[in-house]
Amino acid sequence: MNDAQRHELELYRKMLLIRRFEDTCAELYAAEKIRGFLHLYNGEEAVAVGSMCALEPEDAVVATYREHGHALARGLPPGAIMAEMFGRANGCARGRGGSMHLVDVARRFYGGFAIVGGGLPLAVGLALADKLRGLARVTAVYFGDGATEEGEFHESLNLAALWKLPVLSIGFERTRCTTQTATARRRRSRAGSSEIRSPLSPRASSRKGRSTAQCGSSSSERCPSRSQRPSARPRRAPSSPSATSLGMSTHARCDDARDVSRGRALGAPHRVSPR
Amino acid sequence: MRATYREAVRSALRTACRRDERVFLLGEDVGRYGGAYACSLGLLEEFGEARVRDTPLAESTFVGAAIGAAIGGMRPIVEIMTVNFSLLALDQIVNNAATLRHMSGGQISVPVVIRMATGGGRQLAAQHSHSLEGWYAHVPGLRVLAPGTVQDARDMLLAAIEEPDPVVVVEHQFLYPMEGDLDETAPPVSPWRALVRRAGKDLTIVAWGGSLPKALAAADVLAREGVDAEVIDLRCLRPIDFPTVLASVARTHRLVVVDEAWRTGSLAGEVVARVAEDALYDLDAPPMRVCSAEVPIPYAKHLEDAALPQVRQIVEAARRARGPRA
Repeated sequence: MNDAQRHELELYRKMLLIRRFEDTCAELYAAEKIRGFLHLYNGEEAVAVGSMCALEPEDAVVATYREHGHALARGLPPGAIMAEMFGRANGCARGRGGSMHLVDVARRFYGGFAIVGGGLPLAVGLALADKLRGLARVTAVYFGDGATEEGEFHESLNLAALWKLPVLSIGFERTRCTTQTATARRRRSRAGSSEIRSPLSPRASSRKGRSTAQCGSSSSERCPSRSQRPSARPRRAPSSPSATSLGMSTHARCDDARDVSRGRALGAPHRVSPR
Repeated sequence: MRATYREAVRSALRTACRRDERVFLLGEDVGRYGGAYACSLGLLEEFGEARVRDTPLAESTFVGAAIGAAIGGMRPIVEIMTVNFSLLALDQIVNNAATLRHMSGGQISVPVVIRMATGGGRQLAAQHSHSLEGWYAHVPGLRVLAPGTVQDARDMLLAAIEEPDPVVVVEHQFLYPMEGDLDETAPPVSPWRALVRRAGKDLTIVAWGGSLPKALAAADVLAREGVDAEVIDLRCLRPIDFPTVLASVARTHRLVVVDEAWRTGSLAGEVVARVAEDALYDLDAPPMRVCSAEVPIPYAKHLEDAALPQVRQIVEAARRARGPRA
């Protein structure tokens, strides 16, 4: 085996570690050993492993609430991460953070941020500190595509560019799991932008049938509607009494096949919530 | 020497930058323009663009960047033009700055200072005049300081910069032109303590920030009526120095709290509640609160004056707390 093959094998081993870890998390969640929200990284292993292998130990990492994979790829011990999710004192955040707030400052892993987009300004600041201190370091910040809807995403890109800061922004296309509402219902797609604006205009009326409905369908080619997607449970299922009494808002729900509730369709879980 | 409140703030910023090369300033207009209230005038020229940084109009992100820089080993001082604008950065202040030490199991320290102008009285209407410092004082993980004198404007800001945790410093916009004595060499009084600004035996008036001069003026009026009021400057709004308040109430048995915020859910309510919990039987009369009228602060001078706590209302509250003279 040559060096390149050994490198590839090592990357694959890390990806496999993440997959096995996440599968174990899903089982432990079903067994009610892990509580709170649990966002799994299945299917994205290559993003963390590939990008993280380009970072040096002195570089900083800022991650999202779906960050088990980032933490493992960064080298946090799986035992410390699992202990954190069990709420134990030997967890990587002494049991204060849980699944969404894994931290290991010694590895410059600044965590798990559970407000979508909230880690981006922080990453800009970490990079600013390095620049002011004359340190040749990079700050890598991970985010899902939902974060691009937040103002902080745009503000952070502007500030990082304005101050010429070494921030590596790593976004990934998710489109379905940030909230329950499909991307097409949250954003205007580029392909159908003119029709969206002008369903009542002469131009739109001259093209009968090509109005907003069709722009929606062009987007849904990328993002299937709920009815087209396999659903782990009935659409618009009412909140269970237990969830209500726990104060869990309905944003915990997600009908995506990979985002399932405890006890349902654990074959391919991506997010599990305490319902 | 004599100095204005804004000069005292500037003196602290300059001293901090000279003392510690990790300190830098950022915010809207802090550099070329010298700050919306001229607190950083001349500092860009002295310390350069790397350490006095004008930011885009993006409160959430420049405050978040300051928090990140603090985590990364710097000592940033952020200026937000008014407490109303700070609401755009509430996510970063409350969800990040305040939580990270605890949420990381003690691994992350956020030594950031967030300065903001607060309060009304300058006819700036309902989006520049509010007193929302009580919101920040509600949040564990933050410390909140409200300097009410020229000396404190310098000393408390310098102390805030030494803190390993995030400190919100609220500067009442009415105070910036106020003159007072400033001794740049005096040993600073701990910023976390309340101070008795005027000793008295008949009644305790608790105030802070922009309400402090009004409370002292009210005490002068009361003195002419033969009422000897004690005025306590709370100074630190989180954590509140309750022992000083309770000790005063134990002497005077009467309490008036002045708070420029709205009465509902106010810090004044917190002070009164704690006195009721810990010292109810020291009180000889129901405690009184003097707060703003429950309206967005209006523009017109006479309406604004009517909405904000004034000396006259403090005096009236004190008279009611005193009750009919025996």
